[in-house]
Amino acid sequence: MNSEETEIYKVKTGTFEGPFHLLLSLIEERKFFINDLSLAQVTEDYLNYVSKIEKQNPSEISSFIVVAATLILIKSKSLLPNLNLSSEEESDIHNLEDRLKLYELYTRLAGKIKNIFGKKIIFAPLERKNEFLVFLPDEQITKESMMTFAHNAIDKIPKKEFLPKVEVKKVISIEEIISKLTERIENTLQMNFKDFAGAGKTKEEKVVVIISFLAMLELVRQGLLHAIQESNFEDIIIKKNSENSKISEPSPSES
Amino acid sequence: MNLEQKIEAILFFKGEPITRKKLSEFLEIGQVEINESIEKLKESLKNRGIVLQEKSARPDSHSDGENEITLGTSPELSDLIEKLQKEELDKELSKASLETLSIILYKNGVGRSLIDYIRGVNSSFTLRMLSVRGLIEKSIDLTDSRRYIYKPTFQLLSFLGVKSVEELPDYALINGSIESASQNLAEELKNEKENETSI
Repeated sequence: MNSEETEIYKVKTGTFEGPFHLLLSLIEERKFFINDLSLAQVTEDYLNYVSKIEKQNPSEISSFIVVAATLILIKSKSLLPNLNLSSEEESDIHNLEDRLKLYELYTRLAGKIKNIFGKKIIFAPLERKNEFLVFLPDEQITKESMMTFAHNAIDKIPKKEFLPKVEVKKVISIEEIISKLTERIENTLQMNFKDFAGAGKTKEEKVVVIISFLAMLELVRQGLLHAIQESNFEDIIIKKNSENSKISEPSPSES
Repeated sequence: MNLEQKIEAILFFKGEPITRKKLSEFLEIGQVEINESIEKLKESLKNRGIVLQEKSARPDSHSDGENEITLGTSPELSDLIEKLQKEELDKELSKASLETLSIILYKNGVGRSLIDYIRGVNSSFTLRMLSVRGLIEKSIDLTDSRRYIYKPTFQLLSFLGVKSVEELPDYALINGSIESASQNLAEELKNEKENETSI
């Protein structure tokens, strides 16, 4: 990026109120009209901007991403004219154009509002002060009734709700199980899944079975194990894959 | 004293908005006659230091009995009166506020979902701020009691120096043209989508 482009980027990365604001600015900068041709051309800049703000404001990004999806669709169609779009996709594209035009309309109107706001004000009459204040207690106000009113008011104050707290139990790490399994398979040529994973009678044991299964699948994926099951519901026989003896680091994941 | 003068006196005395209907009830005169007198009053105030403002109860209502009217100082004398004001007036509006206000003004009452649809962002925060500033008010949608409609307040009209939304720049143009047709289409599409997702 040469220095002129960085200059333009500096000006552009002021905060944009939303995806339409950004999109409209990109289009108006180039003095385009709103149509699928111009939208296709600004798609790249739009995506660049979105990836920039993604790091800063991940929470506000969702509306930007929805629009990005449609822009990519438009760009794809412009690059591949023979691309067949579903009717839903076509309507998404028209929708975006229409909405952007609608947004542009209200942006223009907002400019007109800005021009007249606070310039020529119509003032309402000031509140008149009473000459003298008179305290006129109602018959209903007695010592007893005041206590009742006060009690009622206090009862109506919302009470703080205490949410029950639960301690999060320690999780079983899938990395641990993968290590265990690789260790065992290193030393034996084959073993039964049931021996490794356990019977799985209690709830905790069932979790171990599930994690062990996942660990086994991961190691099969890495090419370290063969898993064989003779027929449905039979035990699974795990064999070391002698063709590939390198064992890689398990990928970080917790279950 | 003619009817016009009576209405003028009541508006002055109350110093706050009153509905056309209440005037009719209090003076025990038919709404049509009241409305005629109100128009005459507006005419006679044309070159005076005060004006008659009107706020609609519903988005598309003219001379509706539920509309409120009130007297205020002429916008031409704004600078003069501002000097008499003790508090400093906040005349700043953010882009988000301006966008939101323009939608609410030109539609003269609109639900949050359409505002969000047009702006492409969530407007709850902006709507709350504008409410706090007294520039918009919330009322129950008569067609769908689960929803709220946001409307301009007298204060907003006053800050804009207009006697009614009809005086906004290009108001008639916006409401009577193709623009509004495309907006209606947008509303339909949006409602379709909402129905789809709720199924």
